[in-house]
Amino acid sequence: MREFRSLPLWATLILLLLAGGFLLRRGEILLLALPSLIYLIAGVWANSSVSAGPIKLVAKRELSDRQLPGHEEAVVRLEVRNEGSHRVSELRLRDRLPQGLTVVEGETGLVTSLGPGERAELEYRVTAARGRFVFTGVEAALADSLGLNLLELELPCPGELSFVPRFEELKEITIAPRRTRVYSGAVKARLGGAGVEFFGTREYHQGDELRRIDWNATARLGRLITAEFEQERVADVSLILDARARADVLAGGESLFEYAVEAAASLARYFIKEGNRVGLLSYGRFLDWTFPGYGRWQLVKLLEALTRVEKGDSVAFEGLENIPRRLFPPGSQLVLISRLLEGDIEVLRQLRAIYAVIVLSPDPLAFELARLPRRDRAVELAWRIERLKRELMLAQLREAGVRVIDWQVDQPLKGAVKRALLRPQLQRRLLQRQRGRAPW
Amino acid sequence: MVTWLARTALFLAGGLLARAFSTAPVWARFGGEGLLLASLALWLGSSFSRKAGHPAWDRLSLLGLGGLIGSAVGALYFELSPPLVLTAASLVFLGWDLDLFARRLSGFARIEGSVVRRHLQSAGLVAACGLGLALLGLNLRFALGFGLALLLAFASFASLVAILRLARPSS
Repeated sequence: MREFRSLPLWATLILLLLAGGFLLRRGEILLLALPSLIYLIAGVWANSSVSAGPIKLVAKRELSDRQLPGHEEAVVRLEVRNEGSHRVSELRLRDRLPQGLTVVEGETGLVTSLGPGERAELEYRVTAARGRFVFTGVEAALADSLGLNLLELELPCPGELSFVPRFEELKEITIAPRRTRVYSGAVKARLGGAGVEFFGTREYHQGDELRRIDWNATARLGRLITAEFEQERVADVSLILDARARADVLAGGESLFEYAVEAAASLARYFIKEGNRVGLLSYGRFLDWTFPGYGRWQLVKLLEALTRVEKGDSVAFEGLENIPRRLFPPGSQLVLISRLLEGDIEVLRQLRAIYAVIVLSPDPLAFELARLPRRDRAVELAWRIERLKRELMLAQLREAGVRVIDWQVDQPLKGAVKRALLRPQLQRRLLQRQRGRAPW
Repeated sequence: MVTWLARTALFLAGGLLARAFSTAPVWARFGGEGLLLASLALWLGSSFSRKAGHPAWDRLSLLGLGGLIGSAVGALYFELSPPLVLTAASLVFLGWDLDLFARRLSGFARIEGSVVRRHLQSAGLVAACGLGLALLGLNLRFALGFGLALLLAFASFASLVAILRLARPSS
């Protein structure tokens, strides 16, 4: 509680005027003290509304949601009730807004007066791209009707609001890790058995179902042959989010990293929905590892981790070489979400030797170009050079057997994923067509 | 609106004081009017700098208040039309009060009209009472001996201290 009082200022002024009047022996100067004396007396009398009785203001906060997707709007309602026995002549209320929240409608502050039992209400809408926001309290400043006595206090009314990253509905991402888990799922296990797609044939074993006998092969070879189908199982999928600040691009008030986070959320949701065991490593200032798991509860944990993830730099994690490989089961599927820096290619090549690797790379060039205020010949030239560099980098990755999704963040992720999963010939043709077309 | 009322009160006070100084000897006139102009400039400067986001300059308005009261004291010392000067001083107090009020309200888009109305009523009433009593006092004439004046000075000081003690919060 803080208090400001301008009464001493007035008292000093009056004393100076009285002293001046007496010293200069001028009655008129003494009279000059009279208006400020009346003001002072009125201020002392009005003081009763601020400090004479116990002030009891109670604040209550209501939030329309506790958790909602990023960029959606939440309604914050705040009610302050005067439960004391005195009127508060001047009450200035201002809600303490957590940093990062944007008010889209309404006011967070109000000046009002409250009689005993009366209440004041504030209502406003907020939004944010992503994050967890904690409301602590509302700032209240009370004053008497002349404003000579001021009192500042904080009324506690906690609240918490989470904006989880937006995600896109993805369909049919085919992954092919070398190892799968024992439970049945949607990932081709490279093992014959019960399944949908034909895998191969083998000698008939006692106990094989009759409907699985391949009669054509049996007739051709003259002995019983059983058809085998490829088993479909769940897999270990580890998402690695590149949270290095140096890998981020800021343009037009937007951050490429936020798009990467949204892509990670979309992928997490997709792989969980497919029944896989999904973990998340955020690689930036430090390592933030969300232990792998299955199901809806794991999705909540992953989304919470993505809600709080922040980009940052650290000397230890400048390059990707310090990705802790012991966290990921050998032969499992890794999905790296990164714009990619030049030194990352070699690390990804090494990872490819142990894991199946997909790189989802938000395109920093298209992102920045779309947000440039003007484009001239120099920009065009720079764009072409950088484009070539990036394409070379992606081609190196593709040659190493890494599946690359080159994503222009202003386009839906779904389309980029679909294009990246086309057959290699079609992919090459599409790539050639894209190369020939500059964006101006 | 409150800011404009405050500025109007201050400019009126400045005009009245300038009018009072217009009958003073040349050197007193230049001195008084110079102080007046400097004080008003300081006050306005603080008001605009606050608007421009430099709250540290707020203190300048205190100097402005001091300068205006100082020029009123000077005008009364030279016996330049006391009713005008007392009216000007009341307007200065009113302007100061409204300026502080406007400062408190700045940054709030939602202000209930009753708060402004109540403050204007209280401040207007207090200023009118102060001015009325001061003008009444102008008609009172009595001589004081040195001893009695000293006693009165001491009594004023003591009562001010008592008033301030009374205003201290109970907690």
